[in-house]
Amino acid sequence: MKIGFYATGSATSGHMDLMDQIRYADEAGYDSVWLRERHFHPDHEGRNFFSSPFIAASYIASVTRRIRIGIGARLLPLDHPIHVAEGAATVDVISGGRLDLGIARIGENELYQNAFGIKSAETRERFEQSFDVIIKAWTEERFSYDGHYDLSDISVVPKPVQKPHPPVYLVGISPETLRFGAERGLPMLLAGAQTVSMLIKTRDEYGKLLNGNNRGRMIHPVNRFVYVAETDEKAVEDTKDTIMGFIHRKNTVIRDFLFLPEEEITYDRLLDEVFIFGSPDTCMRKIQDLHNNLNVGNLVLTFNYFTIEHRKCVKSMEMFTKYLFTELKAIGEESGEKAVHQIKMD
Amino acid sequence: MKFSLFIMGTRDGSYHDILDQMVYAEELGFNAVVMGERHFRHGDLLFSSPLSLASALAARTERIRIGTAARVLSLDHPIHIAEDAATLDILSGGRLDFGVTRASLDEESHTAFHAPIDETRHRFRESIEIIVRAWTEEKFSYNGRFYRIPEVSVYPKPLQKPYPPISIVAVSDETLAFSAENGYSAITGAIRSPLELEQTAKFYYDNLIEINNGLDAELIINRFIYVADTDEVAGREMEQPFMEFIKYRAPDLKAALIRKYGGEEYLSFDRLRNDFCLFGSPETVTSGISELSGKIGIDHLLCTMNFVTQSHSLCINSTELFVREVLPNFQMSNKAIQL
Repeated sequence: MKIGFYATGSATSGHMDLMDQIRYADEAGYDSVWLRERHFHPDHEGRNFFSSPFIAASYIASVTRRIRIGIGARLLPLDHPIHVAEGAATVDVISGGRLDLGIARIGENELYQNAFGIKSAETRERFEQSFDVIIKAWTEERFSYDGHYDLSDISVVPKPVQKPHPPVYLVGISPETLRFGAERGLPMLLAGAQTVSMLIKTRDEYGKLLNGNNRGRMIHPVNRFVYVAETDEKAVEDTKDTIMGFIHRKNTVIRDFLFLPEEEITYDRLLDEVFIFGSPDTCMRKIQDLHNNLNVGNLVLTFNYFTIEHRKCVKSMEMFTKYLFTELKAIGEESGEKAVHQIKMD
Repeated sequence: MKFSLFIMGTRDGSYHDILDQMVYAEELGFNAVVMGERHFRHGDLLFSSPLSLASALAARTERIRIGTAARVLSLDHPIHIAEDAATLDILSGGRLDFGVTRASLDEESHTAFHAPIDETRHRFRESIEIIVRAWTEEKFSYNGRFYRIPEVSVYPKPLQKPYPPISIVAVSDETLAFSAENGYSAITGAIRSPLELEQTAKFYYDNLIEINNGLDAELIINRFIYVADTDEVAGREMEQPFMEFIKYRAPDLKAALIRKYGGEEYLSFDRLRNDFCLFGSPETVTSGISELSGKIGIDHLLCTMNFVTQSHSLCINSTELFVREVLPNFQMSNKAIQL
């Protein structure tokens, strides 16, 4: 099983704290680091990383040696596809071919579209056409495009190092987005905020769409929120306020991914069905359950979130790395082989 | 005097060679490494994502300042530009010198990014205002002709306070006046003779409004520089690459030169070299810089020592010779962070 690190911010982390954590992930043997695109200071909580994921990615490319650098995801309608193609290719060149580009249609809320002067009704067209323009910009020496973007005989530079082009991952949930991703044969980054049963449903539905387009099997990275502490009780004590805060927070795209009626978003249910949470033993059991259900080939973990203090996030990540990492890495990606559950605390 | 290094790439240097050269510039003691922005087939002349490259440089260096000359404001949304630059300022530990320009050198970029050239002057002014407000105001909204922004709080804020130094590429007198009257630094002068620079400097400093923001505005002069053992060798090694550069790779310069000299047939290497280039032995280049610093009072030289039409190794040799034989003749006031 590959293990990735979703580098989001938390209450007290600055950019350089995140960079330290990413260096740690590289040295500890994590396979990937993922950066999301978020704009504007939220007035509710925490830090908002990253408003410029490519700028951060270029820095990361230069301070790490082997970790893959994923963008999960660039919000395509907000930027010109040529800028996205150029920025992504620059990161790919600087990193020696370590870029994974996630793409999404919409961000956290309508303010994004309004601030960048994009009509919400146009985001579908922009998203789909932007993807096609980016692939052409990366792979064709010269090209033209006639659509929302009107491009005539241009040659975009630099070209990415990875051939034919860097892997592109779909991040999304709507039926139209899934249909588009399946048509283009994109692996999907399965969202952290989904319940396990929704993950399975999404994976199966998307798998059917992919089959319908004669696309082969592919590994869909699975994102999960994690918190590891010495005991289950300590994990609750460390994070209860934060998670309750999330439950009371309205109007965020994360809630859309939950697909739960308002009254069913409860603390116990989130811990049980969304988070990987508790002592190393408990976390291992939950990951095994997840793996048994989903055959997870690539687990991308969010250690930092919401209003948790940065030092707690780092400690949770260190515990994860110390007690679960080696055993999880040894699980076969394709075989569905069951992990041997044997964790001993110091 | 400050010496910054403008990097436009070389004929055969990869991004990694260029990054190595930028890291080397810190070791050599330059004030700043400065990068340009250029899109499409001209991209190997400059960089299509200069702030991404700058971020890689930030990770690899500790002291040298990192500049752009320049981000083309009309080609991107000002919020993206403000976010990118602020992120870079944080990652570099406050080393960003933010150079901006109104328009790209080629019409092609303006067509592709749907930003017609004739709109750029107005877009530029709105954009620069939005960027400064995004950097300095907790919340703001904006209602302009090109940009309408509801109340937002742009994140992150830059590390440098009140904000990173802004310089404006001023080719026209109008832009030079705008820079001076708004208290911004200006970058100018690649094809201006020392005599013209004297007038330019007088005009800029006479019109410079002091904005009480702690940022010292200055006039930054761009010079094409190539150092070899003798004047004769420098001429031999630069004639073909420089003329190829002017004729085929720098359409804006070529057009300006044709206007200035009255026709392409008057653009001879010897004449251009004599009028505004510093191509020669260490003694010749030293005396050229002395003329700029002494009589004209230029305090910040942006040294263009890479040419996309010249081999990477020759550009490096020239830069090393410049640092070893020319720079020691000047009192340096580079702003690189002292460790």
